[in-house]
Amino acid sequence: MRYGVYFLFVILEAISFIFVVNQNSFQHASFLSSSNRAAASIYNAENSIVEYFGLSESNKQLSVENTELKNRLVQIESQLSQLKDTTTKHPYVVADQQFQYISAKVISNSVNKLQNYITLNKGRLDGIEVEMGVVNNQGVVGIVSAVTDHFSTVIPLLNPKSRISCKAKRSNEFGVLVWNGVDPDYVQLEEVPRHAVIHVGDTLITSGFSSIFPEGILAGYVTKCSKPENKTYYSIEARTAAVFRTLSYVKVVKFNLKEELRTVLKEGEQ
Amino acid sequence: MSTNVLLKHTLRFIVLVLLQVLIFNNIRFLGYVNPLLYIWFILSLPTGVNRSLTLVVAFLMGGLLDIFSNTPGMYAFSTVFVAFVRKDFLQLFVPRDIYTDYEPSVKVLGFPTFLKYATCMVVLLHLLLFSLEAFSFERYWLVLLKTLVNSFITLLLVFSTQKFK
Repeated sequence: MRYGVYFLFVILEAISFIFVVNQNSFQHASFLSSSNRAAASIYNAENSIVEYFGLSESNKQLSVENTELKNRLVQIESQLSQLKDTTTKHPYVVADQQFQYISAKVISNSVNKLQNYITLNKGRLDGIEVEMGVVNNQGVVGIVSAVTDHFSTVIPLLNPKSRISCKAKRSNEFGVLVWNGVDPDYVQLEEVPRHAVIHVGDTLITSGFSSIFPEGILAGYVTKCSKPENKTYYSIEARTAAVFRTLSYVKVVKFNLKEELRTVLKEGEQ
Repeated sequence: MSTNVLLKHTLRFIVLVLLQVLIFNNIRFLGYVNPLLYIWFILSLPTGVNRSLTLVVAFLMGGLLDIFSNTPGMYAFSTVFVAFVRKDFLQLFVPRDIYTDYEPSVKVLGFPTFLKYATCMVVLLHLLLFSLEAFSFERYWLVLLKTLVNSFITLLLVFSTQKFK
């Protein structure tokens, strides 16, 4: 009985350590993450109080988005009327139905960890699935990692596990967007070969290679760009387009042809 | 332990977990400020409490925080470790002739002794948790910086709740 305490200590530490080491396989166990019902509902209650303090900022963002949408509407209406003039019966415009957006509210969010996570107030019943992209009106936010019926957990750009394929808007050079854990406002673009043409100030957008994000969503702006002597790749730093400290509303991207794309990729490999 | 005391500590447990999850894990100042005030519960747990029970409570508390912050096992590991070495730290700093069952605080132990005890516990907790979070020795200076800054803030918070007279 004298050594009972030591025994208990070793067992508890062993259990915890197994969790730490296997954290990748527990990522999808949603009952152990913040999308678990109890944890999520506490975050939900907190958010319903805290949300009032961010209302003016959210309002501003919404009105900006509103104006942009109105502008697009005017543009598209004029294009449509032109098309109707030339083609009386069959207008050759088919709306892009490949991607759909599900809007959701951020109920918990962190930027001060090495591995940050976001919890959303929508889940499986709202049509959200694992590996869907998440964006807001500013740009790319992250990718869904776990879903329960009413909530979901997102791995944002600010997590070393996130790797998002991006390209420079001007020169079409590809790279992978990752985060080194230091500053929540800046991310790094890796795997851009030395012969590529990249300059400070370039805009980074999603490449559209995966079925997670549509092409052309803002990801960031290049702020530093150098070619270290002993590396085969550029060293590039970019400011994130989405401001993670003040996330409130996001949109989850649903790609309707995901299964079809997956089958065609599989068949191509055989 | 009487029901009253039990109730008091259960309340403390709940309040500190909620404070930690809702406030201290959400400070977005400088990107790495994340003081771990919840350890105040383990710091001032009465020494008369069975050592095994202390470990189990520490595990529960750490596990709860893990679920809230998506860090499987990290809080649990660090908290259980700190709860385990608590007795050794107390034996190291507190003179023998003090009575056996007490709640460690500035009032009981005096400022210098409590400062030494609290500093050891708090720094150890931060170092363990942030190392586990990084889980590599790459950029270890960042872990050390986080430990230093956050330990200091946590200690300030701990001492701000103490009665000095």
